[in-house]
Amino acid sequence: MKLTNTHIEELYKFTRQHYVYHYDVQSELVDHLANDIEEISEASPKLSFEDARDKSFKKFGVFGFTDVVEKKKSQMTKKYFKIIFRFVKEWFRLPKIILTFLLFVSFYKLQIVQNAYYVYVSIYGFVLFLEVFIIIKNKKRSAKKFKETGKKWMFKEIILINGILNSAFLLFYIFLYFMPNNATEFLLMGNFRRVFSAIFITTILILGYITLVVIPKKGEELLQETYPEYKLV
Amino acid sequence: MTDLQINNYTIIHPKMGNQKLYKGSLQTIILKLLASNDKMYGYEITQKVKELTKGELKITEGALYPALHKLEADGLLDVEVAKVGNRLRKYYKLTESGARETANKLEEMQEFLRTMQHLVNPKFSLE
Repeated sequence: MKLTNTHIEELYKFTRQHYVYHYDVQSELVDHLANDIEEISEASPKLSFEDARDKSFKKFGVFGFTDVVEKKKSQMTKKYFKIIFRFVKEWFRLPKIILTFLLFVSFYKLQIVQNAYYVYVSIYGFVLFLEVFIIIKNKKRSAKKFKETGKKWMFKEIILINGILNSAFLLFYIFLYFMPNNATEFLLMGNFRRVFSAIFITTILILGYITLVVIPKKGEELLQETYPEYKLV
Repeated sequence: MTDLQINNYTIIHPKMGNQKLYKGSLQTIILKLLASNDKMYGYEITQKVKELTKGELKITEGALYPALHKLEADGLLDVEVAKVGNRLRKYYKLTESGARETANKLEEMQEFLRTMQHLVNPKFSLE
């Protein structure tokens, strides 16, 4: 039995029913199921499409597609952090390294000022607020786009939502556990913590800029690099 | 070295023992197949393994795709997508570093098999 377009549509629906929501992952699974169904029905022609499909699905084991999706997500997240790292490296090369160094020195020098703690907290709060704001905005936009096209791309979602969320959590926890939580304690920091704080606040600015401005701006390019089929559909 | 040789050295028959012994070799098997076949898609890989091992080793779907995606994320595989009939097909092929890694992995595998042979059957030598 050669599968028709209706069958393929059915298979896309089937993957959605089994918790695969991203088009990139769906497509690969649909092609796999389709090949297997064609072979199964060649061996036993009396089997219906649905029975052959279920027989093929069983081969994925008791957890179905869950493992494939979970592993894919963690690989994509890894890829995203590799891209961040690629852009971070630029800030430690000429000419940007001068700006990085200037930022670090200014934040370090600022620490002698009475209200330095509040400057630090404001920068941190501002970046975190911006991240949450952009995540909500992108989430709405992505839901609208999904309504229009019926397709979601995993890496796009990481660039616009999950990746920013991850870096927001990372910053949140670092601040919570490693930074002083009041102005007095801030003034009493030892040398090591003073340097760490200046590095941390510089990192917040660079990381915020990369995740909120640089990567989304290059989004289309990165998506085409990740998905050769992105232009095809 | 032919494709079949990877499996000629198997120590325990999967039907007698279990598929667990193969688990750690999945990446090597995939890389080796891609080294001799230019580009392949997921289903093709499962079929090829079945054919080469005469059905003795079946790569489970739930393990194959995560392994392929990991190799892709590590930069060892590159992907191509083509429209075949009414569906999209994702092909995998080795990158330059993937080709280098294949050679390393095969060397490691040979070493492992030699060591295992010495352990389980000291009188028998592959050399």
